Amino acid sequence: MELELIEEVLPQDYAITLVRVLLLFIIGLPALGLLRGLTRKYVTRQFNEHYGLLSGKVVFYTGVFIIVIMAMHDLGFSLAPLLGAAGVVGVAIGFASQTSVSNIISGLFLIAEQSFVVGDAITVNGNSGVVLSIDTLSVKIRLFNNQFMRIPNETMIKAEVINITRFPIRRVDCRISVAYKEDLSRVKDILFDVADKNPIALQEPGPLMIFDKFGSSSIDILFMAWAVKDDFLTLQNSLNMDIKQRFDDENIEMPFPHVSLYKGPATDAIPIVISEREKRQNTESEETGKQ
Amino acid sequence: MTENSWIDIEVKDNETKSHAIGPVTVWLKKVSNEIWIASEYAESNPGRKQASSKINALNWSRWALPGNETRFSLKPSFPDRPVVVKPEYPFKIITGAKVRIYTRIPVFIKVVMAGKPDFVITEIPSVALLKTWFGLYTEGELCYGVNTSARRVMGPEAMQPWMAVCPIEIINDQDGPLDFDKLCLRVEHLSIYKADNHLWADETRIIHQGREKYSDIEMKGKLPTEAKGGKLITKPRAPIKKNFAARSFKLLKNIRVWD
Repeated sequence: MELELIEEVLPQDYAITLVRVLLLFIIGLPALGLLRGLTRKYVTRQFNEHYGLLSGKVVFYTGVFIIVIMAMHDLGFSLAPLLGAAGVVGVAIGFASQTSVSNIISGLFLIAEQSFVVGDAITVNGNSGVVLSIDTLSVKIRLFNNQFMRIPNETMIKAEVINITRFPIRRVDCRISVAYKEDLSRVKDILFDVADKNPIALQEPGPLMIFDKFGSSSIDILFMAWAVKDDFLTLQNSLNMDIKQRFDDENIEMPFPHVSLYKGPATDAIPIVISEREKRQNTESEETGKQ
Repeated sequence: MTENSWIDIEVKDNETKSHAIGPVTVWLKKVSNEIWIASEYAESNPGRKQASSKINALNWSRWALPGNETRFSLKPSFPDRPVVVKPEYPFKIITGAKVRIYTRIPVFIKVVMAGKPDFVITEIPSVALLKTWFGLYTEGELCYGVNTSARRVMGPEAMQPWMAVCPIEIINDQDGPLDFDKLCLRVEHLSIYKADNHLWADETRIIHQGREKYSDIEMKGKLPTEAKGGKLITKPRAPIKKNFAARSFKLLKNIRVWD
C-alpha cells in the first residue's frame, strides 16, 4: 500500500535518477578528495607546498562544480534559466555576503601578489608565526607560541605584513652601550674580532659598527652581523653572549642608566653675607615696627 | 717524501687511538660494536676552542657498526659546500687574457671503514671553516670562506698535508677587464689526487662571460701536470660535470648595509 503510494508520488524513473545523483555525490566527493590529495602531493614535490595547496583546491572545487552541474542536469534542471536566475540571486547574495565576497577576492589578490607563501614566517599586527594555509576566506597561521591564528583575507590585505623568511640571509642588530671612558677604536676591534670568531656569523656580508649617539649615561653603538635565516636566533644569542663575555674579559664597562649625586662642600647652601649697613637697617625697621 | 697523513688505523676493543693531520687530531675508540670518534683542534687553529686533551673530556660521537670492524681509514674529501677564495692581492684580468692560479682548500677528514671507501662514518673539517655568502641579499648561496689566498705560483713551502691544491685557469671573455678579488670555487665537483703525500685537485677552467652572465666552468677531471704520478684517492661528492655554467665572480660590493 505504502509502496504504491510512493510509486504514485514518485515515478520509477525519478527514483532511479535520485539514486544516480546520490551515487554521484557518494562516489564523486571522496574520489575528488583523493584526487586533491594526490595533486597536492605531486605539485608540492615538484614545486612547493604553496602551489600544492592551491592546485589541490582548484582540482577539488572544479570537481565539486562539475558534480553539482551533472546532478542538476540529471534532475532535469535546465541550466539556462538557472543562470538567468543566478544573476538576480547573485545581486541579492552579493549584498548579503559582502564580507565573504571581499574575503574571497582579497584571497585571490594575496595568492597572486605572493607577498608570502605557505611555509613562510611572517609578522602581522605584532603577531609572528608560520603560514599554514591561504584559504578562500582567511589565512591560517601557527604562531611561534604554538597558538592558532585566523586572519580574514580582507584584514590581511590591508595589514602591514613582514615576511621574515623571504630572503636567505638576515641581519642581527646588537645595541651596545659602553662607558664614556672607553677607547672606541679598541671597542670596535673587539667587536669585529668577536664576530670573526663566531662560526655562525657570515664573513660576507661582513659585520658593521655604527656609532649611534652620545647617550645620557653611555656611548651607544649599533653592531650588526649577518647569518643565514635558519641561524638567525642562534647568532643573536651567541653574538650577544660572546660580546658580554669578551667585554668582561677586557674590562670594558657597559654602564646602566645612572644619575650622579654629590655630597660634601660642593652641595652646601650658597653662603649669604649680610653687610653692617643692612644689619642696621634691619634693626631700625624692626624697632619702627614695634612702636 | 713527507710523512703519510692519510692512513689506516686498527682499533681493537676498548682501545683508543689518535692521529694528527695538521691542526686537528682525530680520536678513535672501539667499544663492543661501536666506534667512538672525537676530534681536537690545536690552539693555533683560530675560530675553535681547544678541547681538553684528556680523553674522557673529548666530545665523542658514537656510531654503531654493522659488524665487528676494527680497521678504519682516514681519507681526504673536499668541503660539502662551495668555497670562496681571494687572491693574495686583487688584480685585473684584461679581455682575452688567461691566468693560472693555485688555491689551497682545507679538506675534510672522512672516517671510513677500511676497504669500503663509500662507507663514510663521519667527516671532520681539518680546520674551522667560516660561513660566507656568495651572491646578493635576495639570492645566492652559502659557502665556506677560507683564509688561504689564491697564488700565482705554488711552491713546495706552501704545500700542507691537510690542504688540497686546486689549479684554476681563468679566461676573461667579457668586454672589459675582470676585477678578480673573489672567486667561488665549486669544490663538490672536484676529485682529490695524492702525489708525494700532497693533495691535488683536478684542473678547473673558468671562462668569464660578463658580470651579469654565468661563467662557463670546465672541470677537466684529470691530474694536473704539477702532480705527476699522483693517484686518485677521492672521487667528487657530486657527479663530475665536464662543463656547466655558474656564477663565479658575482660580487657583493654593490650592496649597502641599509638596503
